[in-house]
Amino acid sequence: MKQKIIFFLLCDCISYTILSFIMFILSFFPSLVMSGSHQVYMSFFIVTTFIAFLITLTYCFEFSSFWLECLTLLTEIFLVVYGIGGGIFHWFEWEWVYLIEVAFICVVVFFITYILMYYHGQYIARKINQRIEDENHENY
Amino acid sequence: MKIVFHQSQEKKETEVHVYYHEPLDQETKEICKYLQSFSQTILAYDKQQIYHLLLKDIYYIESVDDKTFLYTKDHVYLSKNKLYELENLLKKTSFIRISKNTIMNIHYLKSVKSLLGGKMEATLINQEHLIINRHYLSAFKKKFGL
Repeated sequence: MKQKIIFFLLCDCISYTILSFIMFILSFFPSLVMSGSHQVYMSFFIVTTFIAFLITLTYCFEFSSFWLECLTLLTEIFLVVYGIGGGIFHWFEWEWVYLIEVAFICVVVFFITYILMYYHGQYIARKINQRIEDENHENY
Repeated sequence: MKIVFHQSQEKKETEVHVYYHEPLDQETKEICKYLQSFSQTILAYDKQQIYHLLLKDIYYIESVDDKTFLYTKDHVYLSKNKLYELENLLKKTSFIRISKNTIMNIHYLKSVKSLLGGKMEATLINQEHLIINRHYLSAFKKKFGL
């Protein structure tokens, strides 16, 4: 349980950071996003918290295929962003151009997170391999 | 704890003697359990014959369709135990659960590789590949002091 809470908080922080960074980049193009205020950033926080919660919940299950897992997670992210971000906080108009733009941002954030996780995994794998190598040296 | 190694030409095989003070502390208990695991056996079945398989000879244990298989260097045996029973039996040994249906002996681990989705792939010294599920990754890392 403790690990799940840590994972949830980590997930929340990462998704909030990446989303904030993307919004910061997009803020150079005022026509693309609304101007920032503390309410807007609070809405980011609520949406990313919902996403982190759903990711934590989804990670409790074992998926037979990597792509099925990606599809499930992306569907959850779309539902939260469109439903809460668009429906409740009115982040964007319900027009095709905005819906496509939001979908693009979601996919980018999702894959950046996955790539970061992959590189973190590689770092851990390197450390484990180093330990195995050290143990082998000690034994011979 | 004092550790002493003696080299002897008279001994045909390695002997381990543990001198301890009562009551036995946790550290010594764990060392004893670990040492006993080298001579501990599991009942294994193959073609209606029963074997006492040494734990140190098992590379990994896998559960497939409600059957539990024990994999050694070049042989596969059947066990009548469930995977969770073996997991309990093998606690504090070199065995570790790495997925819903696999327990691996880290003595035979050659290397690990990161995979997408937070999983890892373990390569054993006999070149077999096993998947380490992310649910078990934390315990796996702990085994290596990470």
